[in-house]
Amino acid sequence: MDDHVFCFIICVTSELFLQECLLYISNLHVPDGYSVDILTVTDAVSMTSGYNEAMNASNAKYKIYMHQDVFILNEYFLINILKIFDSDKKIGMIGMVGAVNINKEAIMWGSSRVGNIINKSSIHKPYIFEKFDNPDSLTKVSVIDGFLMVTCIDIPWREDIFDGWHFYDLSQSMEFRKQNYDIVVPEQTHAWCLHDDRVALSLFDYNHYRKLFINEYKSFLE
Amino acid sequence: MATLEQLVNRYEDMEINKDLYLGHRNYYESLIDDCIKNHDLDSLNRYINEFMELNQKHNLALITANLNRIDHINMALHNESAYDFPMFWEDTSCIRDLINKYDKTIFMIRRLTFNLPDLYKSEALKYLKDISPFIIREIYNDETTLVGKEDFIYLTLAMEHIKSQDLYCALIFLENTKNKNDQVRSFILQLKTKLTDIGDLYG
Repeated sequence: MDDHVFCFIICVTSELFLQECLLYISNLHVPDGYSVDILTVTDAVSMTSGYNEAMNASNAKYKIYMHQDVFILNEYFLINILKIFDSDKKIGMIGMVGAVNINKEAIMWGSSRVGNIINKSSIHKPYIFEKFDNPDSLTKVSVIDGFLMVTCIDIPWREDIFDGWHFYDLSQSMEFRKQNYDIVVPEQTHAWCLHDDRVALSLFDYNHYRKLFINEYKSFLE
Repeated sequence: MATLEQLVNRYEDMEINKDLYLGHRNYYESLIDDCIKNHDLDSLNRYINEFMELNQKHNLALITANLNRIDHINMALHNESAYDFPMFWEDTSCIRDLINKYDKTIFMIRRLTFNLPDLYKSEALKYLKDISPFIIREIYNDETTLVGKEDFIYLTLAMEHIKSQDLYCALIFLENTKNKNDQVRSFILQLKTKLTDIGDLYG
């Protein structure tokens, strides 16, 4: 694995979104001696299979799995990611939003969450780029939201069970925990990312995968 | 905020009634697609209202962000028609095209409000000059969009239109500003006077 490479892995359905997403990535400060790769996955049959394909195609140590509708606003994002991983070798994955505990119904937004995202209120405030410099400000979580997930270790995504577009994030969080890695969310006074998820999600298949998740990971649920 | 039990019930309901809900949604999307293809504003208005009523009846299970956005675009289109502006959907022929254009407009607004290189901001300004103030206003009214600095955008675009002598458009942008200071009020008055003098106020 090349520990001086960041690889952005993006499942893509819209060229418009991809180009705008890449514009913000191109604006990030890249730490000296490091480089950035971009891997896009089109026509993936599921998030997990797309991510597995990309994960296996890249030898980058640091992989950033993100949605095409995520725009990284904090120019120090890559520098911060490195500092977070360097602060504790047990950290295997970083998210921008997560839940310390996951409830027995496995609905993340039914539990109290940590982290930060841009919302209707915060978007009007002046944006300040934050540098991460306090490991004590990290919160260890059980699960993170899949809009952006950063790893420093490759663990296969469970495409055998989660063959759609839901619960890939919670499942992968469990897989990291099973291998005794910590998952953390940094404190962000100004959210590091904007997630343009348009609020109203199409959730017809959500319940099916929720039940699969509960069945697979029941011992981890409170 | 919904309780865990309420959330579970909602997701169970969506799983059980998936075919019914998708059926309703696909039916109206097909009708709306035709309206956009034919630029039939009256029919678009009718079908959106019907859909929203049905959505309410089914406890908001039918709505998507795209259909919600089309509702907002519909309002802007009516204003564009009433005030004789070029119509936002002129170069689109289906939902996908229309939403793509709307998304691109959102992206361009955002570029002006975040710290991006001047090249990208220039591109954004050039694009937004061809977008009516009615669409911009609906984007800010739209609960599914994340765009900030509303007055800054209105003022910036007003100045661009003043530079290119499109005073009527500039006036509408200035009138849209939420926090009008003395300078903005003075500008509005000057523009109204000028437009009245040339017989061009309100089209």
